[in-house]
Amino acid sequence: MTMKGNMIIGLFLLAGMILSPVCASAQLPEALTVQFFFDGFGNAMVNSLPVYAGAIYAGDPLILGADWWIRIDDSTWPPASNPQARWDYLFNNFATYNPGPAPSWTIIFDEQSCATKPVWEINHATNGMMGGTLVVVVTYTDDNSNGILDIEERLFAVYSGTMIVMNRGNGIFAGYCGSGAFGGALQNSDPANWADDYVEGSCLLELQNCQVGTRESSWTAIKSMYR
Amino acid sequence: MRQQLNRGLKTQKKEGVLNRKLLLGIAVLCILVFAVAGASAATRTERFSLNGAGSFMAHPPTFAGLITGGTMYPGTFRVVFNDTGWPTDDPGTPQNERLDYIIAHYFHYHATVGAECWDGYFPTTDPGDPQVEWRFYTDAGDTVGGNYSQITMTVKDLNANGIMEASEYANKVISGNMIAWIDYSRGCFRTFCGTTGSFPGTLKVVNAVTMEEEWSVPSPSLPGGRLYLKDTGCAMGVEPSSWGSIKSIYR
Repeated sequence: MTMKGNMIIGLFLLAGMILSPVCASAQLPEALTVQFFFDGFGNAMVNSLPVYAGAIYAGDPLILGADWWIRIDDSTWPPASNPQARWDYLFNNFATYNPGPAPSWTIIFDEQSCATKPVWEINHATNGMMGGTLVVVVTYTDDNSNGILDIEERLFAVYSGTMIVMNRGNGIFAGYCGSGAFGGALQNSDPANWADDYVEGSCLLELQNCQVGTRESSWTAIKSMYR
Repeated sequence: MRQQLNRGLKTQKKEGVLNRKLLLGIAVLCILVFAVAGASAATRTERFSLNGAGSFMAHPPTFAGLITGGTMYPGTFRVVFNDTGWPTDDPGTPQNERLDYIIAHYFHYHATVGAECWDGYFPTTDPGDPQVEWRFYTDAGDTVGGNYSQITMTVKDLNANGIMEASEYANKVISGNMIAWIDYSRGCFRTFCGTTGSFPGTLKVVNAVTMEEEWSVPSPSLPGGRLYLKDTGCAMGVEPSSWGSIKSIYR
């Protein structure tokens, strides 16, 4: 009788184990690609712990209307109270000039130019949050090929980068990790007076179910029942 | 009195000529100002999505395919890496010498817990490292091309073990900053010498034997790639001669 009872409980648990991934996968596909367009503002020169932030205005309905931000660790830069020193520090130490046929400067914001890698987050009012780290690459062109980044040449730049989605999201993004990429343009109406940057662009996130730990413990649990 | 009148008439005549020259000068100046404003306003944004294939094993590594969507559709694209100094694979060894070199030379490991990954920069931050080249050819006969000031690739270390497994390498994300060179432009892009761009995408291994990889910038319905075209008048040389014309009016 006890053995029969144990067997029924075992079968019940097994059925639960089989059914639960089906239910889970209905909410959480194994892989998910999310593409969207965004814009926003920020100022890395006059704000300490610079934040660029804005809204997602087009793309995947899962995150349409969400807010986004990226934050840059400026603890190794000169203080924001001296934006010229800050700009000079970044430009003199981290801008690479390429004199090629179409000359340009490229600055990489990563764990070399910042004390830690920049971080990002997307917050959707109903669907949840996800975030991680990223690399931002900004390119200014030397339009007159004189080897000097003139103030007019700082009115516009292109940027791109790659992202890591960390397994720390919530809502429908809970359990996902992955990677992504983005690209766009930066405009500054008055770089001489350290105006805010306006940024717009597009982004692609490749998410996958990273709840591997749950599955491993489930198999262990099933095995232990029949020991 | 008559002499004074004659002198007055002559002065008025002279003043009239001067006024006409002045008005002419102002008019030319206005035309120039508007022309310069018009040139600086001559900007437009092109959008694109791409799908193609290629391999780092090829010499030179070339990725080519179709412009699948956006304002430049239909057309083709090509991306060429400079593989000077890259070793070739020795079929007699189990190692992949060429890929090992690429990973060691261009990628570095990032160990933030939960965000472990390899970031690859093409070119590296070493000055003089050659840039990757790109070209777009529309079916309408327009061509634009140049270099990537940088391509960034990231491989996530999914199991955080510090070893790049084949399955991890197979699923890379990629992005890039583009700069066009006027000499590569044809057709409707011929006058746009201030062209830049960027793209987000993926670079995934689709054949583990040949190491063929799919270069994708999504998507035809929502093209994520952008070219920002700016006509900076680089091919004209209008300004010096115009200023010369203005000066000649007052000689």
